[in-house]
Amino acid sequence: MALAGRAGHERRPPVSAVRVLAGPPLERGAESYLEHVARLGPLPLSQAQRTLIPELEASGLLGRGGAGFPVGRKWRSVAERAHGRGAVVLVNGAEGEPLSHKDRTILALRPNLVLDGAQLAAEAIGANEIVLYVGETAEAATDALQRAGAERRAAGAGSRVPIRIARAPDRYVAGEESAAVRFVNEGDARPVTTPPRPFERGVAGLPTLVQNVESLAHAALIARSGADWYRAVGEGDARGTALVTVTAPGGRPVVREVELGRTIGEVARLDAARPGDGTSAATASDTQAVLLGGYFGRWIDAGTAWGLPLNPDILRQHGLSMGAGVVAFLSTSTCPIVATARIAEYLAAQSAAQCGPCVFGLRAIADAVTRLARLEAHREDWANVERWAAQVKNRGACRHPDGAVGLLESALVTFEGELERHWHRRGCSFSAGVRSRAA
Amino acid sequence: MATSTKTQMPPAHGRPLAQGETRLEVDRILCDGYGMCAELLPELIDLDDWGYPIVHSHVPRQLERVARRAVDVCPVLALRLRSGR
Repeated sequence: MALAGRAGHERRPPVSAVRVLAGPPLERGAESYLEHVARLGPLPLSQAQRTLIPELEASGLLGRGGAGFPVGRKWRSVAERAHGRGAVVLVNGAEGEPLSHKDRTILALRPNLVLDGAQLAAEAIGANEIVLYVGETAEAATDALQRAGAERRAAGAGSRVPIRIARAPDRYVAGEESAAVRFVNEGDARPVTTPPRPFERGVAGLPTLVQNVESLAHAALIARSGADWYRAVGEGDARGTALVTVTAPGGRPVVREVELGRTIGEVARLDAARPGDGTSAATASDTQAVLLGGYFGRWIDAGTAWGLPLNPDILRQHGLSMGAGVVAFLSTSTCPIVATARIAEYLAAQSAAQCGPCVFGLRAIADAVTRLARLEAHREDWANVERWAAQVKNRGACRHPDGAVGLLESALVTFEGELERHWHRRGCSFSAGVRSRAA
Repeated sequence: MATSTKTQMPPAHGRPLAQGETRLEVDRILCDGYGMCAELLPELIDLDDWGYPIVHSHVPRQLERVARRAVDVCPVLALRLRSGR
C-alpha cells in the first residue's frame, strides 16, 4: 500500500479532541443529569422533527457500530416508513466485539448523552418506543442508564415515549442488527434472513432504527451545536471525532476519543502522552502488526499501519475499516499465527449455528489454522484454508462468515513468511510467544 | 488457488433486480444441505465441501423451467426464484 509517510506526524501534537467524553473527570464515573444539563443546556427536542435529519446528513456522521452507514440517511429511511404507523428506536449497546469497550464506556460515563440521542431520534423519526439494548455483562453501563433515566424523570425531562432495557446476551453476533431486533421480539439473539431489514420491519413489525450508542451520543451533540461544529475538527476530509479502543502489546484495552483522520501512529502516541493509567503505549519498534477493526477487521503490518490515517474513505480504498473503532497492537514477541488461530477459533465458536457454510466452514478453517499455529499442519491445510475462505464468503444470513474470513485472509498476506515456517513445520520464530497471550 | 467463478459473485440480495432478470436465492438459515438442487441444476449450483449449495444467482431464460423444479424439490423450501419486472 502506498500511504502517507511518517514525516507527517509532527504537524500538530497528538491531542485527542474530547467531545463525547467531555465533562467531569472520567474517573468520577457517570455524569449526573443535572451536571449534564448545566454543561450542555437543554435538549432541543422541538426542532428535532424538522431540522435534525438534514443537520445529521450535513455533518457526514457515519454509524459507529462497525458498518459505517451514514446516520442521517438511516434516520430518513426509517422516518419515511414510520409515517402514520410509528417506529421504534433500538439503541444498540450490545458490543459483542471482545476488543471493543467504547460503547459500555460511553454508557457508563455519559449515559445522558445516549439518552438524549435516543429521545432526539424518537422525535425525528416519529417513534413510539425506545429500547436500550445493552450487553448483559455491562453492569456499570446498565446501572448508569437506569440512574440517568430516574434523574431525568425526576427533573421533568423524561422521555415522551416509553423506554425499556433489553439485556443483550454475551455473544459476538448478538449486536448484529437483525439479531438485536429478533432478541427484542422473540428472546433469540440470532440473525435472521434479510430482507426485510429492520428499517423496513423490525421490533413489533414496525420500522426500526437500530443505532449504535456512540452514533447517538454524537447526534445529541450535533443537535445542540450543529453540523459545522461537528466538522470543525478532524484531519483532511475525515471530520469529527471517534471513540477507539486501543490495546497496546500486552496491555489492557483503553478507550480514547480521537480526531478522525489522525494516523494509527498518532493514536499509539496518545497513550505515551498519558502515563500512569495502567497501560503502556505501543511503539513502532515493539509492534509487529496492527489489528484494525476488531475480529472482523484486518491485520496490517506495523510499518504500513503507522502512517495509516483513521479516515473511512482512505481505509475503504485499501479494503480496510475501523469497524467499531478497534486498534490493537500485536507485540513483536507474539506469534501472529497463534494470535490469528485464537481469533479464528473464537469466531467459529461464536457462529449462531444457523447457516451451514458458517457452521462447518469456520470450524474447518479454525481447526486448520490451529494446526498451523501448533506446527502440526497437514500438507493440504494452507490450500484448504484459502479455498474454504473463498467458499464461505457471502454465504451466511449475516456477515459473520465474511468478517471471519476477511481477518483470516489478511493474516495469510501479512504473515506469509511466518505461515510458511509453520506450514513446513520448521518451527515458530516466536517460540517464547506460543503460550503468551495474543493482542 | 482454484476457485469456481461462482463463488466470486456478489451477494444476491446486495443489488436490486434488473428488469426481466430472474434470480435464484437460497435462504441460508433454512438450507440443510440436502443437495437435491445441485443434482437438478448443476449449471447454476455447485456444492461446497460440506454439501451446501454455492448458487450462481442469475438464471438465464433457458434454465428458468428447471430452476423452478429445483425450487419445488427442496425439502425445506430454502430456494426461491425472484423476477424483476
